[in-house]
Amino acid sequence: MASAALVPGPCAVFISCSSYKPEHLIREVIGDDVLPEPEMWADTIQAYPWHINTKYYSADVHLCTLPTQTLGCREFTDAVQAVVIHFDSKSEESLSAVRCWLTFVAHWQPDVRLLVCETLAENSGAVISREKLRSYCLKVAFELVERYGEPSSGDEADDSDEGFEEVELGGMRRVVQALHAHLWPNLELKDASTQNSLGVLASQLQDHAAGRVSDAGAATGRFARADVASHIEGACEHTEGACGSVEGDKDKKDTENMKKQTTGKVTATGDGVMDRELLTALGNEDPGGESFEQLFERMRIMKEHAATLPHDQRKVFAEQVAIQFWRAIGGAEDEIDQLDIEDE
Amino acid sequence: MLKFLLIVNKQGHLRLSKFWCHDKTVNKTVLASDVIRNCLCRDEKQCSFLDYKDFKIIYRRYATLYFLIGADKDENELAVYEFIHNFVEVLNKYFKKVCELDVMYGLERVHLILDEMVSDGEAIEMNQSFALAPVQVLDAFGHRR
Repeated sequence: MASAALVPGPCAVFISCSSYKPEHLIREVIGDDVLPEPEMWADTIQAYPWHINTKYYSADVHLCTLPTQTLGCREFTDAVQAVVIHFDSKSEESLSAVRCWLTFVAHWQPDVRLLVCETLAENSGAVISREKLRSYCLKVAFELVERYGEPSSGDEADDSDEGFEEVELGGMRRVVQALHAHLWPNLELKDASTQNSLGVLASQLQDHAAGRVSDAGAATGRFARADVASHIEGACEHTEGACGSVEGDKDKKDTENMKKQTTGKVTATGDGVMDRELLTALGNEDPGGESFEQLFERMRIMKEHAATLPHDQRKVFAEQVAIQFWRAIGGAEDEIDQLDIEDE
Repeated sequence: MLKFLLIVNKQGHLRLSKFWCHDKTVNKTVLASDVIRNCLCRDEKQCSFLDYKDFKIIYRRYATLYFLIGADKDENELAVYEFIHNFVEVLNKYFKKVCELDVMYGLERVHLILDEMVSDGEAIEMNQSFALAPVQVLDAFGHRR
């Protein structure tokens, strides 16, 4: 009887082990006074559509109720992402009913598991203490939510005073929050442009670098190639860092690191030639040695070029080459700062 | 030095984990789940410091999220305790009322900020504005397009 079409998307199951109807819980989650008309899944499961809209994503899911204690069909089992169980803290039977359901929950393997009750305050006549229930919940990977619990005291109050503004949500708002904090399989991310600002940054810097390279190229022919070499060096250093084997240089200014990382990205997203050069450098067992070789090759070419220049230009060119070399071998930037200024 | 930082929600879902120790003998998954279990079962009134194997565990709870740090024996618990709060304040400043969703969907930002504040297990940046500078530069580029 069950086909894939019967269970169209991910869902959260609401179960009640008390006299409180799961439909009421669903109504509180959806936030409307009147429930929408439920869809019927596999003839028995009532599914209420719910649109999730958060800062980061939106998703359309269903909130389901089950008529009896059942696993549902296989498609349904796969679709269950969250389980919310309501129970009556004043009744022992209600608690054992929860235990009964847990074996079913184990089959669904939902990510979000919430156990909801009215209150566990000491004078409320609860049959189980809050501490006991909490450690039980921890064991079965559930979160305990009290609909009318007393606000927590102590540390939290102090913390929120000091600037942390996320308040502890109680009751059904916590249920909604927990349902939001789940990677729904059909969610659609919002605002891709800001999400991708890393990529945007890379392309921006690429444009910038392209401008710089052509400037330098106009001035000194082969100069740009040395620039690329230093980029590769930077990129190598960055990848080494990513592998967690950074040695020394810890005291290096963060801005400099940042710069290195981004220049590395520029090379990676640059034109094909740059790309290939980077890949050769990265693929090598000893990336440092490899680019040094390239660097010396360039040195030879630059020397030849310098030989064709008149005497005064040759001096300036030599200085620029020296600066590039200094950068490529990772020399301290402040040592050549002075030179740069004189340059300009 | 700091060995690891974990951000976990009340249900024990790991939202972020960052290790600064690269000891092959340490099974990070087992370590993380063990530490999380140890912290989650503690009472609100209990101390925020505990010993676990060779680590000092320092944790703080902010609403639904637990921030756990494992440090070695040389680290000062109170300093780490304050570091967590500083880190949370920075996140709060950046995300404007940070919540679990921010950590889930802004994970790369959280990592970026954390990398700015901690290098190789040492807290290096305490100034909140400086810690946020790189990630804000990044956003500025994102918005210009």
